[in-house]
Amino acid sequence: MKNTAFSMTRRSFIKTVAGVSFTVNMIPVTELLADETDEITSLNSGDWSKAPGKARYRIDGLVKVTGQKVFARDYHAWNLPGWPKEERPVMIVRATDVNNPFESLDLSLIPQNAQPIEVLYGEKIINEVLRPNKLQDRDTQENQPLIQDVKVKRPSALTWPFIVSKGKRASFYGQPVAFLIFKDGKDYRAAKKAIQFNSDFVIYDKKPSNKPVFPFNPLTNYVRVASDTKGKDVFSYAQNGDDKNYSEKAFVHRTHIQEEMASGEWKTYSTNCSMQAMDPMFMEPENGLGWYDAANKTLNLLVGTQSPDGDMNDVLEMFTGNNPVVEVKTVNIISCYPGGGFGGRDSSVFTLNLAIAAAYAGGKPIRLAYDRFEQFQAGLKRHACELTESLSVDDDGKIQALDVMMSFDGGGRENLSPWVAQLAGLCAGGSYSIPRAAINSNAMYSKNISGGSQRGFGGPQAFFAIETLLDEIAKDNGWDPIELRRKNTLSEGENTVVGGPITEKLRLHEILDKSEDHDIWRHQKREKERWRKEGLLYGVGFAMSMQAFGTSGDGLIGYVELDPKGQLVVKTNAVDMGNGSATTLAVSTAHHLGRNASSIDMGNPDLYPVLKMNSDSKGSWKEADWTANGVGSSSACLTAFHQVHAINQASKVLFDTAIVPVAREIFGLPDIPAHDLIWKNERLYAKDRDLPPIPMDIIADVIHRTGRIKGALVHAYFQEIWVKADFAVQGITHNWEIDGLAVYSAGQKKPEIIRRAVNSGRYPSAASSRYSRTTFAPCGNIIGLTVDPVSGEAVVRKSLSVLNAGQIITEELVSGQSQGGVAMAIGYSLLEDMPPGLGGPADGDWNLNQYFVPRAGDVALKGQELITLDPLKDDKTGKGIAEAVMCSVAPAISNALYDATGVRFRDLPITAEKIRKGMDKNG
Amino acid sequence: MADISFSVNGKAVHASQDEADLPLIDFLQEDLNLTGTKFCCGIGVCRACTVSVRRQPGAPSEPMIACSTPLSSLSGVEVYTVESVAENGKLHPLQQEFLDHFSFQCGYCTPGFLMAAMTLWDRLTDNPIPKDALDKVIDDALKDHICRCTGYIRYYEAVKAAILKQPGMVA
Repeated sequence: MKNTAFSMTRRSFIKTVAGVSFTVNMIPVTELLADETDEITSLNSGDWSKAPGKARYRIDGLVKVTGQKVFARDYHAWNLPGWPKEERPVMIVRATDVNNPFESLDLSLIPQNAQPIEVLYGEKIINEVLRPNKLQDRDTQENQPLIQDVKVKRPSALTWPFIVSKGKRASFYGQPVAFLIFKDGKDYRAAKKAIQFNSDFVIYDKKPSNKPVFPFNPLTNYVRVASDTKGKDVFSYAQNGDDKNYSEKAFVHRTHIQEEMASGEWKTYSTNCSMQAMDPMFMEPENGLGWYDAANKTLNLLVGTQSPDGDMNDVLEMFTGNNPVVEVKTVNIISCYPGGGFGGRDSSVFTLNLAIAAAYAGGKPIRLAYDRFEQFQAGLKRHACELTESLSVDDDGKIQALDVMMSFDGGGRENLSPWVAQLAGLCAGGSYSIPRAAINSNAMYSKNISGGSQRGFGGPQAFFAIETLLDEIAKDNGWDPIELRRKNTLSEGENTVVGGPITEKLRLHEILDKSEDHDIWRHQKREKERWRKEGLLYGVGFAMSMQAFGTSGDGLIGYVELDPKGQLVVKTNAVDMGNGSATTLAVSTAHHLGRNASSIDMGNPDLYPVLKMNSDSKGSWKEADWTANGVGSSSACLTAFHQVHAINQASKVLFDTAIVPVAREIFGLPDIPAHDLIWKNERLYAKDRDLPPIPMDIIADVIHRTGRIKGALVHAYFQEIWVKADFAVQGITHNWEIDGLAVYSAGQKKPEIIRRAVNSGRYPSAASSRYSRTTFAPCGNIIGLTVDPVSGEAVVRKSLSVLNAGQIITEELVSGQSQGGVAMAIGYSLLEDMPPGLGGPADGDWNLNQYFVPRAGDVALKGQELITLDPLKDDKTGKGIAEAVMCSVAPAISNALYDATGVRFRDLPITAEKIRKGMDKNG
Repeated sequence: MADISFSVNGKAVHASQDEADLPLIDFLQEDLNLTGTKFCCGIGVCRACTVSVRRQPGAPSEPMIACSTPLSSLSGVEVYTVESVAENGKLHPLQQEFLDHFSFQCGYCTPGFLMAAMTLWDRLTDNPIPKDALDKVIDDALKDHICRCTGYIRYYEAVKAAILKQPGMVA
């Protein structure tokens, strides 16, 4: 069967890191195998495309539902053409003691005939640069810079060494103390059986010591005082964040806010919340293959990651030391679909560990494949969070002031922890207009397993606090919870707690109206009575969130090509973790090019380097090759608005520069405006003219025969607005919402880079870099649940999500993301618990028999509903909604539990035991 | 010692006694290069590794957890994996409904759900049930499976749709 889903694109480019140049080849694994083995030749996407802009099913659906090889775990070295067939399994031994120095391993516990052939201790690679600038405790001896013989250089993003050296203390639970490389799978399995759960295997010297606790930079300190003029602030981070004495001024305002809140003028409610760490529990534990091909000085890696750009840069940097363990000239990266992500594969150190093992394996391929115990012990977590919050309302129920302190447990590695805390700072204000706000939000270094950018990115913790407090205020004052929210919603033209403007119609009132009108809300009394007869307590809770999507400044890359037969090829650096971005991007060509892409090529870090742009922090928009941000990691919330924009604009470039000129020639209408050329049924019509339409294959044929532009690679940047600039292509100036461009002509090997005109265009304001976010996906959730008064067991019976998703691209993907978000949030609220320290997965003995994720019986299979607001006339784009629904489920559950039991629960997860004890205490 | 003999997707296979303790999933993936069956928890909780088996020829289909089943227990057993479900390039109705309902996202749990549903399919083919009992038997077949992406609803709807479209499964 002909492969139509994945184009063969073994691409090569030169990448320079730390002054060292590497050749990097990107090889989609599916193509490699489809090309070179018989068994995979059925790889294809089938009849997935329904109509232009629509998908019948996922573009990656067919290969997944038939069990074909698309995940990294599906591969061994012997599957890969050109690789040696002998494969060395690797086991990483991790620290379970952070107080005493690591001394050694008791290798005698491994059967003699299964001993590892290589034991890689930290001292073999430790002579490297420490990074005291990342930390607060700069004065301690062990954090002083040390530059010696660099075997494997630590990328600048990493604070602690890859592997703890003998005689040193681990900096956090789960930090590797050694890599064991085995001859084959048989030895690996025998050794694992002997040592995996044997606490005697890793030996520690008994010299107790504690590392200090300190925050990762930057710290988040948002203080805002609104003025009487809508949109204008007396003081805010957005307005004053660049002031040299911002912190001092913020302190004065914070103190004044706190004094006002304590003055008794308003009703002030305070609470403490405690939220547990949570494992993303993506289904495919991290794994990959590596092979250092000494003859060709080539490092080969097969991985499935959310952050291919960042991982590639880090891997390259590792081999730029003064005496690298192996000389690397070329890196081949084979990228696979990840089996789930949720943030857990974003900037994970896994890929770097894979590269280290490959470098030390004596030229043999290695396989590093965590089992679930190892994944629990080593994988990134949602941060545990301790939170203190006070909220003041006046007698009319108008919110007057907010005071919040959030502390996120960042664990050992920094990862994206301070940025998670920062977004939580924005989310702390909920969906409300709050004239006085004082918010501190920090991610603290600790010895626990590292936290990362889990679905919601700080939102679930922050929204939980304000939404349960509002419910408490409503109930305490006899106010309707929805009406209380209605009085306080943010609207266009107002400012967030950061001071950034609301620049869109949030439609919060519509969400409240639809929630209020829904049966779950209206029939509370009837349902209480019905369940009471069955001996169960019933409660209903509402909560609302306004989760931001994207980051404070996003760089996006997208490539669209028209092949000689008129088929469209899309390439992107984005990764589809299951969220549907491959499908969404494949249908996003239709708006400008009249048809869906027939081929989608994901996870390519080689696209951005083609543009040769720079994002130096000292640069500016006055430089034609400068952008504020190159490219970032993939997250599900970046698809519908951000990544789609890049593909949309690449399609538009292709339309304007390739399709329009050819169409004018064929129609014989040299002056027909571009907007009079209209796609219908994959053919191009001349509006209001009685001319036969032109099929795409005819246009493609002309383009390829005459050597015209066939492909466009664009870079776009969003920070409150899309950068919009003029580009002169073949003598004609076009204005597109992009900041970087290269065009590919038929018959030419190299693209032509076209720089934007610097004397025109639209660029973000400097202040907008301090807005935190300006794009939001508001959502309200109602939960109806029962509580067994004897056991305390809570069961979600009904749920409603009312979502503003903007212009929906593929309804089934939005709905599926919503349903998955509700399920994950139910786990977060009621089931999934993960104590810090050795009481949790740090001990290496955790699995799904201790960590309970929701099953079908835990979600309201037949009682779950999603209402998406009909798009407004001006809604041209979708919103990133991956985490939007999840964020307000947990507070809705807590509020429903209060409704059912009369007890407030703010210590997650709210287990049956906690509910039972709470009810007992309440009498 | 004699080899352990059983069948996988209709083909006879043999494993040496040295591999008696080897979990079925490792044998499938490493010895037979059948990687459609997925490893997730490794302790038989998540059901991602579910395959369908007949303990002997003609015996009813039943689900089996490949991560926790040693080869030593498989003598004479017929094992069926996701790779066997589509025949001659044509998807099974369950696979088609999984696609049409957008039942999965990352797809890693899909083979497990599919093989559990296939076991149910086989059962209903031999022994139809009343229509009003269908929800219950679907729940019995799928309730222990874990999916982290989708929230389950679309899997349940797909299995129900496939069975209802197939004549003779429900009375």
